[in-house]
Amino acid sequence: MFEYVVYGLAVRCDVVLRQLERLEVPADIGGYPRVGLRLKPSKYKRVRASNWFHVYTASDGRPVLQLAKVAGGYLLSFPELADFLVSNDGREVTCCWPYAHGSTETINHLALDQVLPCVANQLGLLALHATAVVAEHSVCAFVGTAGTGKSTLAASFALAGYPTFCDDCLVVVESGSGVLAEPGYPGVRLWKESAQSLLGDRVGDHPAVGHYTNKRGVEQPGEAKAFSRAPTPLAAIYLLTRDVSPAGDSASYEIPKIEQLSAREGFAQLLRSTYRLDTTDTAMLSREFRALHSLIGRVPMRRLVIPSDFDQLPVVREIVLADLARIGN
Amino acid sequence: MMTAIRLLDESRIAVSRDQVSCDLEGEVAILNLKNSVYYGLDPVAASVWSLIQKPKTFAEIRDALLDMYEVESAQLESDLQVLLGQLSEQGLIDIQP
Repeated sequence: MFEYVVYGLAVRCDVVLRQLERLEVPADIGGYPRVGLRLKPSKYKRVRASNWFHVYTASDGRPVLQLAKVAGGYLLSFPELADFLVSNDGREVTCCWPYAHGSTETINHLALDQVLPCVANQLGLLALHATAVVAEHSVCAFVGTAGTGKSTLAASFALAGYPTFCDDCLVVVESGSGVLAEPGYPGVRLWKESAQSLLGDRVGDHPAVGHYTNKRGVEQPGEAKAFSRAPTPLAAIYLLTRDVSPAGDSASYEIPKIEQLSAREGFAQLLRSTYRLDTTDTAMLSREFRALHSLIGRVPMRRLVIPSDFDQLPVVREIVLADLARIGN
Repeated sequence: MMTAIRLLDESRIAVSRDQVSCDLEGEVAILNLKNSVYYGLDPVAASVWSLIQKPKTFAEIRDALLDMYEVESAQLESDLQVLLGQLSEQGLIDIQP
């Protein structure tokens, strides 16, 4: 078995997850909740369900993740890719069915980037759909709808020497002195166009994260400092918004800017940015509601308006760093 | 179809136990635990929400709001009837006629 810590979870897995740093065994996992993750091919046994209690869809309406309650836990089905079982208590995760074209890389990617964030939620953690970097010894997080450029901006920071902290799943934990962020793993996942723009010819060195997607897994781009494997104070959350002209096109007619965000807007955005496993669990929803309210009272949240122009990324970084410096003071 | 509720002065109103809410700089967010639907209240509605954290009669709420806002009594009463009707319809408050 292989032991890892990711998203505030101590994961014991029966296969190597190449994205994560393997811990020495017996590992010191501190107070992290333990999760068993079984992905080995010999263990597959299909579980069927049709009573989906929640279905996540792509922009074209196609289901990308369906959740159902089954005996002993939950079935998470990624149609035509893989199915996973999560025990009721969130402590055991099993890949129960890889569809015909499912590859090992795809299964590992789904387990790590989609299933474990939901498991973190089931175990009582606040898991945000956010990408983050480390700047000036604290974490700076980016939220926003898919495609607004969270990972691209994080990669840009990494190329400038500010290491990534997580991509798409940020677990935050309240501590006495503030709010701590739990790390994901080094690197980001970029659409091919973004990867080409940032990395040029080197994009070929980075494989797709799964057989079904064009997204490239880019391990800590550039010469960024070492990946932070420790919980790190969360300094600010930025809601990424694309700068769209009144005419509706996304031309970069204006410079990047940071705007104040009302508590209502910030809270609403965070509600839309959480990973949830059992969306029918009112105790969880109630707990999450209170945690988000506390978070928004303790961590500054801003709107970061960015143009659709890769050339503007250095300017975006500059205004974020300047804002972080103001917050730090 | 919504049945209009006509609240009397002595009608007693309180927030439902099946919700959680929080203050957001003068506005309010509410999660209805019966249907997992989220709601937002503007500052005026938020002041009503604040008043009914402890059960109050319609007359008590109306009079408190008249002290807080410069508004015609008839207009306020009408708006308050609408707001409380909507909150009741969504299961966010309990009303004892």
